Amino acid sequence: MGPENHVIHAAHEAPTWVKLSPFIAMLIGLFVAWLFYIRNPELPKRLAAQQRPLYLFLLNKWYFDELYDWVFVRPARWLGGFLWKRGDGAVIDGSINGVALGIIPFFTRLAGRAQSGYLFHYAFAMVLGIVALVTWMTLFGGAK
Amino acid sequence: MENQLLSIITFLPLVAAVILALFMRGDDPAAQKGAKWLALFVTSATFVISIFVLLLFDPSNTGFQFVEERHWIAGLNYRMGVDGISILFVMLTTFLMPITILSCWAVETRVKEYMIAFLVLESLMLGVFCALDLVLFYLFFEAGLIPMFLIIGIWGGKERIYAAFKFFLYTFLGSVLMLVAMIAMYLDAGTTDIVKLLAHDFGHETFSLLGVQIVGGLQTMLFLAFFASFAVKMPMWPVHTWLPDAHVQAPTAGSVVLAAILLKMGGYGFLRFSLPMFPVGSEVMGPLVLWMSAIAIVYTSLVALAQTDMKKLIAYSSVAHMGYVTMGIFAVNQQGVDGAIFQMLSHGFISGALFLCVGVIYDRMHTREIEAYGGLVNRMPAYALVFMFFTMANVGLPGTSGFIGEFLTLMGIFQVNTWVAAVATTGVILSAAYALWLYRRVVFGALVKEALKTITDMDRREKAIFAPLVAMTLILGIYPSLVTDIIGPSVGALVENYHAALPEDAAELALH
Repeated sequence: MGPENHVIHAAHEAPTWVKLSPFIAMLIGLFVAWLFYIRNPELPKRLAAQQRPLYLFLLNKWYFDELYDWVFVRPARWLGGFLWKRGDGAVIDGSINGVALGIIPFFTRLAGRAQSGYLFHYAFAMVLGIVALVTWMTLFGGAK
Repeated sequence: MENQLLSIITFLPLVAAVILALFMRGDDPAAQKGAKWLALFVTSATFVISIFVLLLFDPSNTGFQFVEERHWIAGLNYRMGVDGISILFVMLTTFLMPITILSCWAVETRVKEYMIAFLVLESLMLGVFCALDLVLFYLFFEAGLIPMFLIIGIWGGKERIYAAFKFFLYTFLGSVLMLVAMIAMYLDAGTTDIVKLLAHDFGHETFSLLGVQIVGGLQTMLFLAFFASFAVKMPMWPVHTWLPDAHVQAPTAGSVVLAAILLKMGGYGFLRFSLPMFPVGSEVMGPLVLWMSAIAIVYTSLVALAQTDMKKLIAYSSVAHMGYVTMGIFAVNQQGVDGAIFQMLSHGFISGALFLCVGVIYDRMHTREIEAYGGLVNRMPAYALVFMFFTMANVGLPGTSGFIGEFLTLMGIFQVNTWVAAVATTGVILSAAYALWLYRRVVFGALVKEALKTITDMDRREKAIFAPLVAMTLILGIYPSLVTDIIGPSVGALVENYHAALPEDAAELALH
């Protein structure tokens, strides 16, 4: 707590009416309860019919459950579903399956096509290989 | 004798498996019963012997104990031993296997082979935690895939073949990279002895490869190769997608072993190899791993919220809890690493128990859909109590072991990176949301479904399965020093050596 913070001390110096107000609030509540539920039980019904929106607002706890549902619960569940179906399903598994079922078979087919059965194709591939090797040796290998 | 204890507990289940395979004939109920009893007896005996190891273990000694060394083939040695980091994983394994065996008492297809698979698996898992030689470790680590592959592929659900292959290919791909790194380590250090490798300084001078600057040099490369294997095993986001599929398709006992023990090999690997052998590599990649963990916790918790299948929900929750483990490990301080090990042990009991909880009602109704249940508390009060206990433990209620693990890892990470800690803490709230919601939908509400009106509560065998798990979760939750006293000194030495091994300018190396 900082040196200029006097909350605890200031709490002692509240005016007297502040200290009295909870007691008065209790008395008002006691009176209203007596009026509504003992003296005249018809009164709350009429009040509820007369002030319908206010009545519903209070009955539904200020609509806090609905508010939480909209602000937290629904977005969280939507996000969860989105990350599950799109994130895990489409992006992660999708890309891995894409490699496994798309790219690798592509190279497989390519390699398969090279096996034509013609001797001169194979001989040509060997010549190409030798050319590549010799080029690489001349440029990078040897007496370095 | 003392030096052969580890070999005895490691190979005892394997010997039993061989006996079952060679001498057990027939597939009548009597033979099935015999196979189950033999498996239960041997796994229990293994547990009893492992208690002796724990009693003889000296926690104040941070080196390896019960070391056994034998010449093997062509310059390779058979070398076993445990320290404060691995001993409790050995205990976890031996403790859970009898429970696992007891949980498959109702299985009736290929019982003998099922028991053999679990016995072999136990041997291999214990081998992973005891091996003190790279080659031996790799052998156990990889071979462990085979029995699990068979357990999912033969005794699993409808899409078991797909799940088994996905499990195998994911983990195997990572492990191959680890093998390459192991060969590189052998070429660099000239030995495969883990004790010598722990003392070896792997190069960390920055070099460039194909025009890319590799900060941290060889250590970073080796770290990444091991990371590929352990991150998949863990599993860490984004390579976790094999786990929900494997869990959903695996039989109950398979899920228990998978969640409770096999996942811990990843965390153990980080502690045995990545941190102590490649400190500079860990420092370079650390921040990335921390953020991956934080993302994993929030991401998979949200995904768990959207699940309609009970097992899948628990599987995603497992991934989230493993996020705390990697976060704690890469905080590299006493609380973080203590917490990570604690969380792994606690998750072993809790997630194992949760999968058993699903198994109990799956055995009765043959469905894992959350929608198919509701109001179980009316017919199954004992089950409702047990399930409630482990739901709360999964959320991390104080007094259960789940709380200690989460709290220690969060405390460890808070000292290193407050942002990661803040993001990870939201996962605690989400875990409460998905776990309590699951519990409400399955256990509470009105019992309206016609099929559920005759469901029976847990029988004595099922209660006996849960009793030790409840006890361990409570004991570790109330008196965590039981664990931290054993792991503390070894973790302390690990953390100290890690920071001593970092060069002066290590802080600048880290990726930010």
